[in-house]
Amino acid sequence: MSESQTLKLMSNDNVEIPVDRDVACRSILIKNMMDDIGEQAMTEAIPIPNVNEAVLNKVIEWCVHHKGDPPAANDDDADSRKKTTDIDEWDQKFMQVDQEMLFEIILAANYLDIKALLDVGCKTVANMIKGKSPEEIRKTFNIQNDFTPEEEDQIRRENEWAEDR
Amino acid sequence: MTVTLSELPTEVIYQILLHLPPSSVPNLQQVSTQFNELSQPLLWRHYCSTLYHYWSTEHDVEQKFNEPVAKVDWKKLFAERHEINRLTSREIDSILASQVGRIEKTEKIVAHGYDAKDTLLRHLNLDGDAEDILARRFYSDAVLGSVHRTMAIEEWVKLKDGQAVPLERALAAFDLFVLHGRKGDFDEISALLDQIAEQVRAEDADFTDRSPRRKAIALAEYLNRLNLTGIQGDAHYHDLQNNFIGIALQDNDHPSLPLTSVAIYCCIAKRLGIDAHPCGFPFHVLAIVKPPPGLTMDGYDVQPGAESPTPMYMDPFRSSEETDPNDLKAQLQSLGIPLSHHLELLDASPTDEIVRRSAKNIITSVQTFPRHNGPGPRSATSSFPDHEGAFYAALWALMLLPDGSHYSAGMQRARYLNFILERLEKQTVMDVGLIEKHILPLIEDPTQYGGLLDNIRVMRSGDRMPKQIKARNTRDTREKVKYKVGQVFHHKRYHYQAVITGWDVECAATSDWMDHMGIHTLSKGQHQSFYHVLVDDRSVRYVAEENIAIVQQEVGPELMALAGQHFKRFDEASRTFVSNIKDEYPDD
Repeated sequence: MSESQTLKLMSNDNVEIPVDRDVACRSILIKNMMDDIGEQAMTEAIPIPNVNEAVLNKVIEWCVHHKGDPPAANDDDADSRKKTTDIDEWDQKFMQVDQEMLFEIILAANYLDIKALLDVGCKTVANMIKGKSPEEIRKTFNIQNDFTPEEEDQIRRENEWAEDR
Repeated sequence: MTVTLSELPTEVIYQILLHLPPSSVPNLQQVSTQFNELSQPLLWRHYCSTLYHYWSTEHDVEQKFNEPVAKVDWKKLFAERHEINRLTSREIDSILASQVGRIEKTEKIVAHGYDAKDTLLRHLNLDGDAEDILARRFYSDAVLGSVHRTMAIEEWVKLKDGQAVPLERALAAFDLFVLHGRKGDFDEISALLDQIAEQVRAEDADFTDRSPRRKAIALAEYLNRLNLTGIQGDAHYHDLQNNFIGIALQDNDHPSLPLTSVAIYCCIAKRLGIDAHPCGFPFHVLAIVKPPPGLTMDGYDVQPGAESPTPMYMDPFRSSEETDPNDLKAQLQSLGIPLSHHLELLDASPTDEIVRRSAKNIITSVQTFPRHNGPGPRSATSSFPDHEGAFYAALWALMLLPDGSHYSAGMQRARYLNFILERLEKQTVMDVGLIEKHILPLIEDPTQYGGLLDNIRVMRSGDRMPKQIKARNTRDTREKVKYKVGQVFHHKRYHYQAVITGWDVECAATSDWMDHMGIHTLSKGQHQSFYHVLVDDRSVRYVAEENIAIVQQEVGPELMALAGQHFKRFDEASRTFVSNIKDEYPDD
């Protein structure tokens, strides 16, 4: 198969987006689909029911940039944890979007099964959580505190071990 | 429709958590009930498995990882390790910050046993430009060494007390003395042996059905084919590394002495249901393979009334063929060994005998090659395995497991003790507790006992005492002491490289020492500044100012590693070491 083959993806707001086959295959979901239904997939647009045009374009942009990346190593590796906060510069810029878009990208990466993109998204959120107090986390992500004071107190006590002393 | 963090599917939020440092999780838990519920055993199990590799045996952690995740309080276990990690780092920082109390601080870390290892390795492998990188590496390595030696010595103590110790642990104990940050501890050696046993089994689908003799030969053939036993290539017979089972298993060429080859053979044999033991034949250890109960080596039933079936002998160091017992008997005869001893020499040797023999082999290796071949002095820290550590291991083994009668054991111990103490004062002062615990009770002679007790007290109190401050606050100290702590020099007469670690305005040694060293032949005699120096071969010397030549030269890796004992780092710009002994020499 030549490299220049393109296929079309259909966003949930009915926009057809042409994309290189190699690029689309960063998504394990699409790759498996192509393996299953074969060449037929090349003629008809593949519906991506959970992702809208804006997000899908963003995801494709990421896939294009990372087209040549080596396949991801086993994520259970102890080493992969060390790199937790390391996000390469391009990805950092790429992830400078509003929270809604960030979560949409994460959801799309999860749905489309693009492990490396899901990781970048999760790391970005993890970095937003890291070092913040519970109240700061609530503020950042607009979360309601639904604990009773007693519950709150108990959880704090259970977690005293983690405090810097 | 707007998506928020709370609305992400649980498995995605969980992915986010996996990228958080565990210390951030409690704050997230306190955000809301939804996030509190995410703190599941599975998450803490993940942290336990990814952040900590080495566990003290009391946790039985391998068993825990195999159990259903909910059965183990993973969060509690993680909190425990987190605390040990914190305490260990704090003690290391404290050891680096002051010369006072280093023995006790080390002992506090060593009390955590293997639970401290991950943290120590993190300090040891810290790379790059920490401002105290040399000191941090030096002391975390020293403390880790103490953790390893404590474990090793415990195995030999068990042997001494008549408890059963697996051969592989009894010998791997030597590896622990020279391990530093490398792989090859008890569990890692056992895993390597497991692996080989698996491979032998995998080669032959009918392996379990073979006769004991066939099995014994198949194993020797396998080891021989993969070069896992014996010495090939240009390795020298007496190379120190050939003594260590863990090194032999991990080295690409796997060179090993007969004793080590036989040990590897026997340990794997045991996993394959072959009853093999080292046989301490004079000059060359062999393996004796005994038939299983009720069977001959060829797998036939032993007939009632028949003689008990004969064992077989293997020499995995030399070949994969069976050794004829008649040849062995003939050899014993030609050595002039009386017949009455033959039975014992041809039988399995007790494990303590094998440990002793290995210790003696190590001493021979160390004495055959006191230093690595090649030009210039090589330090014991950068050569592997390090000679100092290996020799020290042999001394401990012989100390705990001396041979011969009760009386001669006492004599031998007195001799080894002197060597051990000499090393202790120079390098491994933190082992004083091991001596207190394991050696002191063995000393029966009251004078020796008292002497050792005094020695221990002096070392401990010396460690607790703040160093006497040597400030440059007099005219003499400012004008007569030309060089400073941290300067690297070349000895004009003996041509070694060293670093200054202290000074005196005049020679402060005894007159005996001065006579012996010919100080009066120096052009300025004893009335010039003298310097305590650390040489790149690990020795500590006392040098007159006139013999010091400050030269711009590359500092070797040996001196770089050793310097961590007194210095924080090497400053490239000034080409001097940055002092970590300001509590003693505040103005240097």
